[in-house]
Amino acid sequence: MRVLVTGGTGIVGAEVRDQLARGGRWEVTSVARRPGPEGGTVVWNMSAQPPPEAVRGRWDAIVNCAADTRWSQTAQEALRANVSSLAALAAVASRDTHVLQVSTAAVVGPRSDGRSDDPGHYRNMYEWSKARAEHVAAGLFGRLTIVRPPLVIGRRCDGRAARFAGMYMLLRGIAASSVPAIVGYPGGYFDAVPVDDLASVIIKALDGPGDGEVLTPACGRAAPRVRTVIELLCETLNEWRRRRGVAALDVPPFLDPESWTRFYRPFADDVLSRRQRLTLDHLDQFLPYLRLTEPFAATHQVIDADRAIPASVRYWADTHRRLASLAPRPWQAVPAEAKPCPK
Amino acid sequence: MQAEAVQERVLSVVSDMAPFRDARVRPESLLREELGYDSLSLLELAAALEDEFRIPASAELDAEVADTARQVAGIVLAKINALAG
Repeated sequence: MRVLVTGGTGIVGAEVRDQLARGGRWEVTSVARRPGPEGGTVVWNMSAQPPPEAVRGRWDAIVNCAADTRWSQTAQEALRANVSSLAALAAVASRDTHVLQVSTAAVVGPRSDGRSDDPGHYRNMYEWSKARAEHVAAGLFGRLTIVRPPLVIGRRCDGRAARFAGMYMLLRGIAASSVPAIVGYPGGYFDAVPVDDLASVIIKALDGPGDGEVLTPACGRAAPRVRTVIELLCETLNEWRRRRGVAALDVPPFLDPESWTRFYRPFADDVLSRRQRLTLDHLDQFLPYLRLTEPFAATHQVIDADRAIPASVRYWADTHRRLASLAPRPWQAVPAEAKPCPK
Repeated sequence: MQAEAVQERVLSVVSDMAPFRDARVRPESLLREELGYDSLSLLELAAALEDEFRIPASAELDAEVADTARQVAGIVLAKINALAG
């Protein structure tokens, strides 16, 4: 049984590839835009190049994990990365190839059931492009299963992750002292699944019918809350720092989103430095994900995801030692005389 | 401070902070295309360089305008010289 795993150097693709290889039942080929650190990955920029020779032939299954998950993408960038790349798989899939499209739970939200084509119904162009990709996949492939995970973190046993997005964006920001406050609801849902749990669901689904079923492995109502996650990130990172003699970082305070938007943000624009303002622009992308009051509807219940977070933090810190060890840099208003005069 | 010494230390920081963990950093390495930097990680790189070279936070490095590791080293060197002058 031959299976092609795309995005083979990404967080999901690398774990799916490794679990498939360990199972011994599948002959696995992985592709990615760049060669991975361990070798063995076929280089294929799916949205820009024809399929290389190594991916030709009949595939029993294709697991499409290739994606650009940046929330700051333009519509054009997101379409190229997440839709054009998927469409390229039509050249290597046959009618009976079972395609598993890894999407995101966030295509379903307060203004979308995942079927809307209106970008305004999504939090960002990434989510919109993943919804578009689901429609495109339904039209292209005879056997299809869609998997919609929420945020993905490292695996339970050791926190290993091949790439760091989503929750790690917050962690990086906290480590770099670039998160002055958590703008969100402390009691909001923060749904994240360990990547090994997700890979297990995907691999089990390979034996499914491929009748267009949508799987959502998520914590749902059992998801950790935002306050718990922030405290876990800070506690674990500070413990890692303490062992290396590095000063502890403060836990950022919580700010109500409405107060932030109406008062603090405009005020911040007046008194902060150029880089601080740029940083806030980036962190604004995270805002919608810290104010989720409705849980994702899980079809596959993931439990105790919060217990996997410390291992993910430690793994990230071990692989980003310099960033994880940066000295605390308190946010300070820029003195008026240091700001350029308006022309 | 010698330009070569600054460049060597900058390359070390750029390598440590690079999102693509397996990339080999050279002076001409493209920050975004080859090393995986995006605008947020370039801001973090600037903070790490300020930490490395003891540049005060108020004298912000604008590393995000650079395309290559060599250009980052040039920005750092110019800032060090400006602060010393």
